[in-house]
Amino acid sequence: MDSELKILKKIFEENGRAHIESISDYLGFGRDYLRFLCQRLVEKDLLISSQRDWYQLSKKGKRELKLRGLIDLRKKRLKRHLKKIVLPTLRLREFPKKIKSAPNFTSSKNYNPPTLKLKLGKKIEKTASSLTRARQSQAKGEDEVRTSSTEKLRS
Amino acid sequence: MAKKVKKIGSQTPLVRGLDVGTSFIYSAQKVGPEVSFKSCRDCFFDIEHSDFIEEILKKSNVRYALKGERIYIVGEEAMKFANVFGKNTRRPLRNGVISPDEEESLPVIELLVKDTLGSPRSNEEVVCYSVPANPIDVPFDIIYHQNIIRMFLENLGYQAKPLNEGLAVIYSELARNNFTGMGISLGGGMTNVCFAVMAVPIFSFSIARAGDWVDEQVARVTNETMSKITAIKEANLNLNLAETSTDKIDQALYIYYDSLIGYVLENIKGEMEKSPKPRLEKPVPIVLAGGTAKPKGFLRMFEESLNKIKLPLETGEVKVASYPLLSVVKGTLIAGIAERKKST
Repeated sequence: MDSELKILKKIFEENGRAHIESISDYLGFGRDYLRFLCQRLVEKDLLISSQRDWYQLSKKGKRELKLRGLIDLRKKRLKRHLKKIVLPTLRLREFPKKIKSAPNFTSSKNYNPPTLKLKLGKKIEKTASSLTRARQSQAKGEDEVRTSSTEKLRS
Repeated sequence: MAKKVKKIGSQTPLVRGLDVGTSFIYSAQKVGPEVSFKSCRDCFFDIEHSDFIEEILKKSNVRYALKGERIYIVGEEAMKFANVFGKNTRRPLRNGVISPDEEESLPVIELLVKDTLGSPRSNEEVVCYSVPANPIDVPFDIIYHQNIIRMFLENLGYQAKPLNEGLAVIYSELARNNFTGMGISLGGGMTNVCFAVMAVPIFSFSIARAGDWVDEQVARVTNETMSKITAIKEANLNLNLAETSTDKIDQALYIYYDSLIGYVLENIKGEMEKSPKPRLEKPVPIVLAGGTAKPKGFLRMFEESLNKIKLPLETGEVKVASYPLLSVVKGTLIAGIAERKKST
């Protein structure tokens, strides 16, 4: 079962309407990536997005789940009056390491983008050296402040 | 083999800089006394596939990709095609981050990054890439964008390190001021602001208004396509002349540029008031970078608005970066070299 179907199933289990956070908890994906997936489902008319971050299963979405044998509409009826309230929790999720890019995206070969060459090598090297020095002196300063404050505390 | 890589590394640091912008993607690489900059326009345009069109594109050295029954023309040529068809180009990035509206945004960005950057020279090569700061006027963050770009770069074989876009401008342009001052990068999708003291950022934020916003508003009021407005703006916009011009596009450009500057300065003032104010001996210098700061007369308009608004900190010299379009990528390259020096 792919991610899109998992999203649809989760929303169905939440009585047809779910917040992105509860889907995120279920699938373990980040919210931005889920928004992207849900947006695609909205475009396919499988979901309805009436409010930001809330997604509702459309008739087409329900039919899709039924066709794939993932749900039985006769057994599970939507009970709106018993809707479970899920409070979104603020949590940062680890981003999935790999995302499948669109298939069959073959590109032309041997392309060289326009190139501009400027004699800035020495200048950039000099700036990088002074940046390193500035960072080092900053770190040194911070260390000194830290040591003096610990000494003060000790005394 | 390992010995050879080490030798190359001691002569030129194995570092590249990358600026992933809404309008352009730039890469920079130091080769001896020169710095080589490569650029790709960050847009695409799709047309129906036919063998005849594909053959023409191949012969004309146009960058394209195929998917299903569509041909995706990528980069600068996409803009030309869009203008020929009287339509807008499609953009893989919107408001400085990966566009959720475009289904093809991920493969297109991957392709453009690959084109601009090329393959790494060793498995230890570092690429320092720019990322926008968190926006203050739109409800999204940059986590997804930052991680996707990192993933693309790591897939190419680089060690990827993100750098705040505004800070990159400071690294690039304020070395004489000991990296103290304010860097403002006015790009296509976003305006990035960073205030740093001795290379340490005090505050940084982004605003989801920049060149694209100007183009969009001007296109709306003049009933033209955004691609056409972008082409006119990039060709020869002079804001000194636009102020008194009778051409409606020029007039609209002037009005929206003025509005954009006012909006940016209002937000800077607001953020400065919220942030701690360091005691500085000298007034704060301001550097403007990015394609939106490039037209003639922009600096004058910015200075006039700055005098009216009065920021909480005393401001000093205001200047436009020597190479406004390359300032961010230059900054990322400097940060990368500095990082390499620190580690060796």
